[in-house]
Amino acid sequence: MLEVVDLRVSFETPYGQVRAVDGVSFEVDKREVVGLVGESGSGKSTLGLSIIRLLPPNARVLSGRVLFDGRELLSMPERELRKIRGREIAMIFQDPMTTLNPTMRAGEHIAEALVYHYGMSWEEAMKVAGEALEAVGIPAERAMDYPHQMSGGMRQRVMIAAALALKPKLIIADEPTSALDVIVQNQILDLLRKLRDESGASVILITHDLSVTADLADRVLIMYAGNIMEAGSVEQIYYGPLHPYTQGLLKSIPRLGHKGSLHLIPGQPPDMTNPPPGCRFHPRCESAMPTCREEAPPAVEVEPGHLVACWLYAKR
Amino acid sequence: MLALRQEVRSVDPLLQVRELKKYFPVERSFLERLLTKQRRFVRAVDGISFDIARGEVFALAGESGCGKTTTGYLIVRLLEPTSGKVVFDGRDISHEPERSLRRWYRRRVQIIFQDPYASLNPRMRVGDAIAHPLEIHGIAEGEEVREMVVDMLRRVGLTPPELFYNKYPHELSGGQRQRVAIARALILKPELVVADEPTSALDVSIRSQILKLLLELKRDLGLTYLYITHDLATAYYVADRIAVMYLGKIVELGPTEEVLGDPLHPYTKALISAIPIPDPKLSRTRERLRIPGEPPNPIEPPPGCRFHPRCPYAREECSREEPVLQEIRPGHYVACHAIETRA
Repeated sequence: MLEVVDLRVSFETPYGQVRAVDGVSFEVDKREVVGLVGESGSGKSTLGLSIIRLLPPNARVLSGRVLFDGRELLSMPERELRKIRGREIAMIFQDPMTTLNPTMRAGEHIAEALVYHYGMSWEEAMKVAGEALEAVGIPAERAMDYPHQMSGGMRQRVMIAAALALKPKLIIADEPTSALDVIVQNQILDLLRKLRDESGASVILITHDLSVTADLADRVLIMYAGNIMEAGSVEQIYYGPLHPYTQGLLKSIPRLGHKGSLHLIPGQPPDMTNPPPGCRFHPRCESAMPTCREEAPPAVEVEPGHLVACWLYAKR
Repeated sequence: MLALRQEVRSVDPLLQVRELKKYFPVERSFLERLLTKQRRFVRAVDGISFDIARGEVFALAGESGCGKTTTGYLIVRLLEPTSGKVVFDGRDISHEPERSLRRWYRRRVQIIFQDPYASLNPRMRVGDAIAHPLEIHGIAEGEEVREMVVDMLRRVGLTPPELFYNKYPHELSGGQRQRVAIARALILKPELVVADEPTSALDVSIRSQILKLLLELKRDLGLTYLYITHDLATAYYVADRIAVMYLGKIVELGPTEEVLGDPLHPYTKALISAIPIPDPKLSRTRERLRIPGEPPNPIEPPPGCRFHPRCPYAREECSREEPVLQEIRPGHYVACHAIETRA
């Protein structure tokens, strides 16, 4: 349903050009939840924003294609794209306080989109908005509340209610639970699952937290420094990770009941104005070989659906 | 009185907290002031007691707004308590004047903040930032300062130290900045270190580096930690004992292994079952105690047990009477009516 082909996005910064996304390809099927996991600066959010062309002005798409239901989004006129944004592809951000308009009531956010995309009357739209809020566990009368009168968890529910009401085919959720406490985080993940099950929408779940994708995703893509290092089904990624970075990440998460010593990945993510040559992970990799410093490894399909970009698995 | 109950004490306490309270007044508009004399308060910390033994790592855990950070600020006296006591090494510091605190307490107790982007002065070189406390307290001068700073830089893993000495915070990554904040806190050789969410602002791959460093430094320098966190998994990794807070109160306290391995309070159970785990099968099949809603407003907390409106086991008495911490097993305390009767 969504196909991203060899996407490259760069930022112009005072320190030089940053290749935030550097040759990324993946697909999202109908009803599929794809987890896009990476640390800060990995390019995961930039990738999400470039799909619906909401990149900041200093960003530039250098190459690549984004095919959504057969239509190419990157070259589509802005007017046409506006009909897709919100209605067919919805975006949920980390901090709903910055995405909700502080002078608009919760229900009005949803109603406005319904009037714009579906041509409903205002009364009808407010009624549907109330129903959508009820569906995410917010009493309909709170549709008249302003965002500041709601908690962080409730504001995130409003965003999900909007996605519910507009019945999009694809939801891009960028760190939707990172600002929330665990109990509310769980409630929101349950809601996203319900939304997928009931509306059949596909979800791209962008997060830094491998535990969140374990709960919800069908497939997981691991990003590092603008590249996808490994991609596979949740079973493949969690029970048989191949890339040293994925392996290190999984082992460095503290877990209840595991008291033993924590694994750590040495060093830190690279300076993206001057990324290391070859494989971008090699300076932190325990298995690094001379080849890794010279040439970036190609993505190899090791088993059906399981791709890894690492010289341990590729032939030169 | 709970404040002085024998059981909450530990053998060789470095820090004793007794019935500690902090109420913040709610701002009122001019009209409200004319209409009513009654002032309202946010009861951020509402009567908590615990001890921290010398050499212990004690975790204070809970969701945002539970009062854990306020408790940390009261202990390092960035805030003055409304009532109750904070006793450090036998001396009550809860209302001690700042001038007197500066003479001894500020050296012996230090804090590490969550956000290393906000806690370092952007105009101060790393070496100078770490040296600053030494100068303030008149501990060392000249070449001696430099030696101490270089040694500390090495200890926190900022090597080569000569290189990092002259860097500015903006030249460092988040993990490196947190190392600077740790070095600055430890340069005075404090006894108690309050670490307020020290890894929450950091990336996953950096988080375990900092946790490991904190444990190494504790061992090498003989430190005692109050580890404040919302993350029970990291608390499990670092802490000997843990107290779980909800809306200004401690609901459960005991050895980490026991509280997190076999939780008794329904809130602790709900918190634990909400921790996401990086294992898809386990994550999707485990039994969970799902609770509705979010913590209520601390200005008017629910009567009786503060957790009762969200508690699946709540009974009539829970809305009437506030449960007190009871020792259910040796050293394991729970404040819950359902548990009292069971025991």
